[in-house]
Amino acid sequence: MTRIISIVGGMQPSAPTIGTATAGDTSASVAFTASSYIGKGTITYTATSSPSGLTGTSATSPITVSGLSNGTAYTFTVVGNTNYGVASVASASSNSITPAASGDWESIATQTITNASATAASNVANYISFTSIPSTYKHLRVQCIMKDTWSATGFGEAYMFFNTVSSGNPYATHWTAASQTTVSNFTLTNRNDGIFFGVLPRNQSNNAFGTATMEIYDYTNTNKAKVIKGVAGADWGASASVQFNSGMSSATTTISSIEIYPNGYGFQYRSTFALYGMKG
Amino acid sequence: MPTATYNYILTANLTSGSVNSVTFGSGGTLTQAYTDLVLVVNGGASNPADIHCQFNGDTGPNYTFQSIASPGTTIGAGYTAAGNYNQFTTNAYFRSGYDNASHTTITSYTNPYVNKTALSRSTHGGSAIDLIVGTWKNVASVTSMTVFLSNSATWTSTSTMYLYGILAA
Repeated sequence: MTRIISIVGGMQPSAPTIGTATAGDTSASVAFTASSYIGKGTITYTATSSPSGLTGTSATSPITVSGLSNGTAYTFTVVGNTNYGVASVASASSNSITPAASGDWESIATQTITNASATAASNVANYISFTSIPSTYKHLRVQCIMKDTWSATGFGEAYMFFNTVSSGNPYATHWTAASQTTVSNFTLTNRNDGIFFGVLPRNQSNNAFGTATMEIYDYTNTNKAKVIKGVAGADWGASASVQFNSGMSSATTTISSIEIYPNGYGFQYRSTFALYGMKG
Repeated sequence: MPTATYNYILTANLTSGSVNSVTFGSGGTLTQAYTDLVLVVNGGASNPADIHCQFNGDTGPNYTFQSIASPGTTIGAGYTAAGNYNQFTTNAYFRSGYDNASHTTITSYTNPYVNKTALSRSTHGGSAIDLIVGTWKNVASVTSMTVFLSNSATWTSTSTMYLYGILAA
């Protein structure tokens, strides 16, 4: 009888199925689906990082692997080990994650124009939107790297809506800008076409993208109009512009979505928009 | 799930009082793990100076910068089309005896498809502010960054530089 138990306990579990790895602060959470196992005893699962070979163990999914270096990319494999010391074959490798320190500023989402044909005056109506924005932050920040597909010379702007609102004339825009040696001011009030911001180079035969950083304050406070401010600039080869931007939406509704359009044809391939949340 | 971001990388304390330049990522070792870099400079210079920057040791005329500056009660603007360095402050207002601070974001510094752009805001002892967009006309990843003062000025001994990395989801 003892001999039979030993044989059953010595059976090898199947390889676990790897799930999604999620980054933490010097740690990762590695999900998996358990092995098939008809033998006797229990299975403990071990996730191992690559590089560094750091491990974490658990009887159930997910497994936490600690001691990772923030800023380093890792993948993970999972192995099941019976209490008789029999190990499964390792799972496939997980997705790559990069641990980062917890802080008061978190990345929520990134939108990138992936339409590779949008590189010329193709009239591709590329725009981006952030939806289902969490209400767990105090302020929002949008970081843009953007360019227009329009083949005209010069530059335009982007414009931003909140919650897809385009009626009631809630939007106002102001900026002070410089191009070459000229300084100018620009104001729009009581508009339905969003808050204009940023420097958006049109499609030139170079790699010049405009950059803009816009911050939206107290976006969940229903007693306040929504105020944004930022800075932006670009050099598109023939000239350049730099701007102080401000804007407002008189709507007091919590912002749960942001839509950004180009004041031209469409955002060019590889234009990127990152949304961050700041705690308060 | 939101991803933690805005991570401290390192500090350069310029305590010797005779330093003109600081290189981040000497030999091309600047971390490539982030989406954007942020450089915060707080301090002063031995004599009025601008803050300049070169990426990857490139000393050629491959930089442009557009500024808007407000010294005192005036406002002005300037553009350089083919400079030998990126410029983070302007009009030589970064000087000793004043509290000077500069905040520069270098966006998408590893993106192989875009020229590298630095957007910088600076204040100079409460007497001037400026905003500058500087472009390095190169799509290479920024693997080193040398920050130095013009006019052969040196950093005052209490000057400090802080480098941060922003990681987008």
